[in-house]
Amino acid sequence: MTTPAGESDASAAAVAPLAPPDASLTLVAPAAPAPVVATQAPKMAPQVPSAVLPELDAKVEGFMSALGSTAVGSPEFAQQAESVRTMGDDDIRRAAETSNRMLQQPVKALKDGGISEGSAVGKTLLELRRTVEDLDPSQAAGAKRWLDLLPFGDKVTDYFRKYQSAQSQLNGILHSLRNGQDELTKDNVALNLEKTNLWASMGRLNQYVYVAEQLDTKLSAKIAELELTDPDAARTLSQDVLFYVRQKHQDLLTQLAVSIQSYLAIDIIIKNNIELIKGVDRASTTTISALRTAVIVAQALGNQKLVLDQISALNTTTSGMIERTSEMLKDNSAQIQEQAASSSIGIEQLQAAFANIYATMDSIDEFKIKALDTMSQTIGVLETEVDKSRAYLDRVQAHDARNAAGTLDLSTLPTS
Amino acid sequence: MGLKSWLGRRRGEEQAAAVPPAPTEQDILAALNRVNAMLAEGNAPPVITSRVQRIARTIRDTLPQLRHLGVGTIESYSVMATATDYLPEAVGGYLRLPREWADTRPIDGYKTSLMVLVDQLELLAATMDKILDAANRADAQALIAHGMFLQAKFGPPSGPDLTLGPTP
Repeated sequence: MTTPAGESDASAAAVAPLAPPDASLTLVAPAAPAPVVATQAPKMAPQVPSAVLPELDAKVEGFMSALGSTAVGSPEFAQQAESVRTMGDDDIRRAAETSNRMLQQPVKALKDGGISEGSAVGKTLLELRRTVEDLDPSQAAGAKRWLDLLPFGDKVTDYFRKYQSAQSQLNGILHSLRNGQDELTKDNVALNLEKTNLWASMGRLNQYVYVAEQLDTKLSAKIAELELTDPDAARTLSQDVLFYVRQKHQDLLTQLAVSIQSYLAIDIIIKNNIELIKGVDRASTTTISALRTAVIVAQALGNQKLVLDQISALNTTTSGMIERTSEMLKDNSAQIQEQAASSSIGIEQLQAAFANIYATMDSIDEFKIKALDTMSQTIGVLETEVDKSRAYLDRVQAHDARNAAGTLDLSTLPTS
Repeated sequence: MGLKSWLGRRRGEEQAAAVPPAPTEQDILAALNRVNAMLAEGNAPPVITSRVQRIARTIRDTLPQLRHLGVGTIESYSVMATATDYLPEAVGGYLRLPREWADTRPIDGYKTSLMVLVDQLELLAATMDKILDAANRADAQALIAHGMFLQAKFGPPSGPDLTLGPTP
C-alpha cells in the first residue's frame, strides 16, 4: 500500500521531537541619550528648508528697514523692539509645554509602562513564571526518580493532570500577554504621533533661530555703523533691540535643545517597547511549545491523551493523525507505538521546553533591569533640560503684555 | 503533591486575580451585542451598521472553529480582541464625536472621521474573513485526510492488482 507523501511527512513530524526555538533571545536596552548642547541644537533639529529662506530673509529685511525708518526712542521704535521680545513666543511656549508633557512619558513608562513590575505585562510574566514553576517536570527531582523506578503509572498521570487544572490560568496568561503586546503597540503609535508633532515644532523653532541669527548679524553691523555717527542711538539700539534679539536667540536654542532631548527620550521608550513586544512574543511561543511537548510526552509516556485548549488544533490532529495512520498502516503501527514510547521524546524534551520558557523570562527580566536603568538616566537628563525651559516660561508669564502678532511672527510659514 | 507545590498552588490561586481569565465565547457574543446596542443607541449611519454586522457575522461563524485553532494562537486572539476591543474601540471613537463634525470635517488628510472608521472596519472585516477561511481550510484538510483513508481501505489498490479472481 502506498502512503500519500504529505500524510507520511505529517506523521513523522508528529512523532519527531519538536526542535526548540532559537535558544538565545537577546533583548537590547537602548542606551540613554547624552545631554544635547544648546549650541549644537540647530544642527540636530530639522533643517530650515531652502524654499522658506527667501521668505525668512524678507522678514528680517522688512524689520531692518522698518527699524531704520523710525526715530530711535520714538513709540514706533518701542513697538519694533517689542516685536523682537515676543518673536516666536507662542511656538516656544507650545514646545515648552510639549516637553513638559513629554517628561511625563518616561516617568509614566518607568512607573507603569511595560518595563515596570507593576504593569500588566510585568504581572502577567510573574504569573506565567508561577504557573510554569508549578508545572515544571524538573521542579521535584524526586518525581523523576519515581518515574525511573516505578512502572509508568499514577505519578505520570498525576503530573499531566496538573496541566488540565492549570488550563484556564494558562489561557488567561496567554491572552493577557497578547493584550500586553497590543497595549505596547498602541503606546508606540501614540508616541510616534507625539514625535511627529515635536518634529514640526522643532522645525518652526529652527526657523526662528535662523531669523534671530540674521537679525543679530544685521543689527550688529548697523550698530557698528551708527557708533561712528550717533553713539547714543547705537547704545539705545544695542540695549533695546540687540539685547532682546540675543536673549531670544538663547531662549530658542534652549528650547530647541529641550525638544530634541524629549524627542530622543521618546525614541528610547519606543525602542524599549519594541524589545518588550519581542520578549513577550517569545514568552508566548515558548509556553505554547512546552505545552505542545507536554501533550506529546503524555502520549508517549503514559499513553495518555492530554487535551489542552491552547493547542487543541495540534492535539486533535496529532492524536487523530496517529490513530488514523496506525489504522491505515496496520503493519507499521507497532513501530509507531514503539517510536512514541522510545526515549526520543520524553521528560528530557519537556524539561528542555521548560528551560526555554525560563530562559526567555530571565532575559526579559534582565532587559527590564537595564531598561529601567537607562530610563531613569534619560529622565534625569530630560528633567534638567526641561527645568531650563521652565525658567523661560516663568519669565514670559511675568512679561505678558505682548503683541502676539508681531511682524516677526512666523506661524503662517510651512515648517518643512 | 508535595508541600512546596501545594504552597505554590495556593500562592498561584491567590494571585489568579492578577491575570483576568481569557474571554469565553459568551463574553465574545456579549461584546458583539454591546457593539450592536452602541450602534442602535448612537443612531449610526447604515454604512457603519452594515459593515459592523458583517464583521460580527464572520466572528460568530468563526467562534466554533476557535476550539480547533487552539486558544493560544494569534488567530484566535485576533478574533477575541476584535470582538472585545478593536471593534468597540473603533465604533466608540466615532460615536463619541459630534455627528455633523465627524461626517464632514476632514481629520486625516482629506478623510473625515466617518471615512477613517470605514477604512478601519474594512480592514477588520478582511482580517476576520481571512481567519475564517484559514480555519475552514484546516477543517477541510481533515475531510481530505478522511477521503484518503477511505480510499486506502476500500478503494481499488493503486498498484498492480494481485488479487486473484474468484475460484472457478
